[in-house]
Amino acid sequence: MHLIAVPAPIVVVQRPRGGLFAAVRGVPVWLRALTRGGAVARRRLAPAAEPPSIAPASPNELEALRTGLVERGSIGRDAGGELEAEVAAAQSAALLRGLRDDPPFGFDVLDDLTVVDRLPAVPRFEVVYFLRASRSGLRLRVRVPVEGEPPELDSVASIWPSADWLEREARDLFGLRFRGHPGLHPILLPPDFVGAPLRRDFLKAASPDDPIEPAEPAADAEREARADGAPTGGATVVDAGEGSRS
Amino acid sequence: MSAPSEALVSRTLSDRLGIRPAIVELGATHPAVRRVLAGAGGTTSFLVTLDDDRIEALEVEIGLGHRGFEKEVESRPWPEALPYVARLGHAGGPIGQVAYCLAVERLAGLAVAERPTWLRTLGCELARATDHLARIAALAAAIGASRAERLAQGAERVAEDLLEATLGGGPLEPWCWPGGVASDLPFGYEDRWQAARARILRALDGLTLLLLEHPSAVQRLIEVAPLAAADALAFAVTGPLLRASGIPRDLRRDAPQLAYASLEFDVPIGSAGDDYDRLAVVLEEIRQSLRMAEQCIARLAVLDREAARPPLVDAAGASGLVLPVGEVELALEGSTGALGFYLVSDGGPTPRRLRCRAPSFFHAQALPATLVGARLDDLLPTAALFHLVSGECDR
Repeated sequence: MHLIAVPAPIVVVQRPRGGLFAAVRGVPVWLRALTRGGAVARRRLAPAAEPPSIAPASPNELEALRTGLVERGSIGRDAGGELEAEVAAAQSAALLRGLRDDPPFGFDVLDDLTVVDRLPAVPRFEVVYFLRASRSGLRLRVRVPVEGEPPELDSVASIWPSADWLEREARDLFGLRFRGHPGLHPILLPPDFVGAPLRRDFLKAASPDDPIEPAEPAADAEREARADGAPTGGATVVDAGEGSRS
Repeated sequence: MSAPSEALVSRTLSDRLGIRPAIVELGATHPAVRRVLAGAGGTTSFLVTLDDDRIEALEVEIGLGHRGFEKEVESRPWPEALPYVARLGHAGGPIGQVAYCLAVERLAGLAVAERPTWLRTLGCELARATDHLARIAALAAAIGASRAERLAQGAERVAEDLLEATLGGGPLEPWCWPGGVASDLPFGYEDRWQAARARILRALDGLTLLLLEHPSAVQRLIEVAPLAAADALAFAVTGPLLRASGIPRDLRRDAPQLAYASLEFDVPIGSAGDDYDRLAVVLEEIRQSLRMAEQCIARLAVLDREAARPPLVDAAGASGLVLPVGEVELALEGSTGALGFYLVSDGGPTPRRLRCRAPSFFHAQALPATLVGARLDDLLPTAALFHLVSGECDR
């Protein structure tokens, strides 16, 4: 699904005009007042000189994109109108770099990076990259299945700078390790937090002598369900216990 | 940015006097940080490495407001994520509600009637105006323009009252619902709208004069913390911040949802990407939001109320909303940037994964790149204009 451009005009906000020292930093006000531009000109909107830089992708570009993805051994298909591809973990770094650098791709923006826990499916984790080509506005979602414990994947922070913090968040919440990342420090969670809370089997705050075990409907979850009167979809109650299961 | 020779002189002097770079923590509870950022909804810490008064390095710490939103909603039925989504933004929460409902409706294949669509558009634009006014008040506090701060706060109160009338409750209360909205406009709304609009426009004229034209305010903003267009794209910056850097990307224009395809509006962009452009873009966007709101109200006046009453889903129906297996991603132009939702459904009544793409997260990441070499007093105005909202950034 490529973009539909609505003809909303682009206007450039005016910069202040005035005398020689009207808006130069570091020049004292009295000196500016001496010049003719003591009062800056009233702000006006000017129509943009060039046409907007975003042009919708042509059908040829879309077809080339789809063919290119299939050629690289991954699947290009639509899901609800959005382009989606699946890539094996071993080739993910090289392919993602190609998606940024090689024509006809040119996906120079990483809009988002997240992880989906598919427990009990195998492979368990799926890292999802949301790519966008700024020139055409074309969007592509790339899924990379990851397995292993701890799950590891190559970092894309050297390809897209926005991935830096996104991979830190993925490590915080899911426990993924990104090889080659400049510094996987905690970002959303406290530095002393143990465990990966967004995993499906994370029930309580884990401690080193209390390993995380698979989900089972706990007694307190049933009590809560009866009190609420609403169905609960499995025991995903997070209870920060003091290191022992109650 | 000063000429290189000035920095050279400063460095030599620091060396001679034996002054070493100091690391200063401007935490979230620092009075200046709290005064500036709290009004616009931010709890962010800054670790600044200073050389004299120049920022050598900046580390932005987020996460103080992390509430585990994405984990909580995995154990609730789909519509019960709405109170959490409403708290993602300060006054921009309604836009998040609409984005989430649109994503759920796309996955479920639900159609929305015309009147609720226009009501949603109206709510989004008024929420955007309110949020922008809060941001301008924060900026005015940061640069010490107290008259402008009071003016912006007054205008924000007017906008909040109008927003409450539009949503039928506060901005944090669930208003949007899969399939429609929960409440319609009150009777006598047009008069309230006209009065509020006049007051806000008058305040905007005053703010333009005080912040965009007064030399001492302009001096604090011009050429401060420029964000190059290439850097903005590299950090996936969106919204008014991206437009201030000269990139004309606005989701209302490029991928219109709701009623935006039928609205007339301008998209303001900047040229230099500095604080001045960011402020000018935000001020102009408020005017455009009011312009869009006027068109929405004109359209709603001719749409029949009773025949297009939004369907109210009762509690039993809401808990039973089961979405088919699949994934959907949808982004709306929020007041901070492109607010996106990625829903993964495995056919159950609760989500498998609910991912919120928060624009402030990326803005906080891009902030240090703009402030290296700037003065310490430029930190807070830039942070105010960078739209750091911890509700969505920390989630």
